[in-house]
Amino acid sequence: MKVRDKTYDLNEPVIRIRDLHLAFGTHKVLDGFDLTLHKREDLAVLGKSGSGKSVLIKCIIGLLQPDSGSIEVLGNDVSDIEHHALDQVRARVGFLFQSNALYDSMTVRENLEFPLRRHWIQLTPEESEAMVMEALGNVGLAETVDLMPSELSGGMRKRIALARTLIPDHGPRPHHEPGDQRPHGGDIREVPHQLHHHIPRHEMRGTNLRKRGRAAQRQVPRHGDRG
Amino acid sequence: MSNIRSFATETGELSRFAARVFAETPKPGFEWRELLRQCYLVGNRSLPLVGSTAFIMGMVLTIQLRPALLSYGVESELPYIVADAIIREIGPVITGLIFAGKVGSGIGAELGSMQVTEQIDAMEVSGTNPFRYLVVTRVMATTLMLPLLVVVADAISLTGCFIGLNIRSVTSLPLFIDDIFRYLEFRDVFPPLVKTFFFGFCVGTVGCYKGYNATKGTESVGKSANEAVVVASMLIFLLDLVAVQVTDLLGLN
Ligand SMILES: Nc1ncnc2c1ncn2[C@@H]1O[C@H](COP(=O)(O)OP(=O)(O)O)[C@@H](O)[C@H]1O
Ligand SMILES: [Mg+2]
Repeated sequence: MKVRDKTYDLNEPVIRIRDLHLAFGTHKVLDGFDLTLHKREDLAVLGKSGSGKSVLIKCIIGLLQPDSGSIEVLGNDVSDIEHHALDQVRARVGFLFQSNALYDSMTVRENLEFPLRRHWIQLTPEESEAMVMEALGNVGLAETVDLMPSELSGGMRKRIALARTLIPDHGPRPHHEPGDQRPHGGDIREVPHQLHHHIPRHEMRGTNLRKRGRAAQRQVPRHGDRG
Repeated sequence: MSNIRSFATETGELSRFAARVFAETPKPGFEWRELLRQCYLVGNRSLPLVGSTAFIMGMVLTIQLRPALLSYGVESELPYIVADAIIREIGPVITGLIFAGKVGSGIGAELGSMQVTEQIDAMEVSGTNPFRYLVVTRVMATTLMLPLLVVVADAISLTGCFIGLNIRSVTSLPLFIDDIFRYLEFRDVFPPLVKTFFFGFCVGTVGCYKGYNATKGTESVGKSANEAVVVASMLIFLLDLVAVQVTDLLGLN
């Protein structure tokens, strides 16, 4: 697969991937992949299942090491970075797992508190509780705080996973106005868009649904979807 | 041939995993709360089964040995002989095997399902070292809790022995205790206690190794749990064999 991203923007890139190669044994999953994502841009990567979208996203977050190529996230080369710096990059990137990856031995509250355990985030119990409740409120599930993931429906789990993803992003939120309408109920696909008004973040999704892909501002097709 | 090679690879991988546990344990930022929680869970999960089997073993051993000792005319030695067998061998090995079946398989299945559902990756991304949070705490918990469980199991076995004795004859508790401790020495008690730490380490490490290395798919969770028990039980017997040789060389048998 060889895809080049043609639209260039003069803005500072958030993610810049150059000539990425990754093979599992002889199976070449990423073969010279390039991508640039700019600030305030939504990008969807399309591709058949098994074409390597999840693998790409795991390379970006440093869960998989590429064989060669460079990945810059927020100006840091994640394939060549010391652990603490990688952790700080990860804290600024929201990563939603395909299987949600909620910790099933922990309550919803403990799940959301987990990303706040980072040693440089010093929070009082009240602050951390407030952040948990705010994140849960943002996905309209404040009442589930003491439930276990097994007691939630599939859609609720997806939202909790989204809330857990957003929680470490505790920097200033210029677009957040206290009187804003909070997203509540509705389809999970709407939630990221509603959140967008509160929390400016650069969103990149791996998806194999064209319908969802269209909601993004720009699409990068993977092989099979090209042309 | 490929079997031998995969056995060798597996042994090497397992040793590397165990070495990593040692390397990661002393690093700063130890997960004390998680360790305490694991110790509680590990003890709580296995105590009922360990306790009941220990009681039965003590009683059965007493009742079965009695006729033999009677025919040699040394029935009064029965408490000491049973206590020695339990403390040296039966307590540590039986408890270790039950521990492997109960706790080792639990750890294998738990970490296996966490691996398969990407929960371990999620921890990594969340800034918590999953090896330290999950593996180091569990291995520490099993290493510390198994010796404790063995001491409790030995005491319960001896209670079973006391009751077993009193079925056919009458022995008072003070006399029973005196019969045991009159002969019991350092070398009867100390080496078995040391080997239980190794048994506990082995159960925790094998369980974590199997779970941590589960591949995609739910069937691998069951496989992790199953292999954890089989490998840990085998290793307990091997360690027992090594332990008896070492104590023999040190003149402690
Ligand atoms: N850890 C792994 N080991 C071996 N092969 C893998 C691994 N992860 C993914 N693959 C393979 O890489 C390819 C891309 O997988 P993935 O990125 O999950 O696909 P998708 O685009 O549907 O998200 C698949 O063929 C998969 O079998
Ligand atoms: Mg995928």
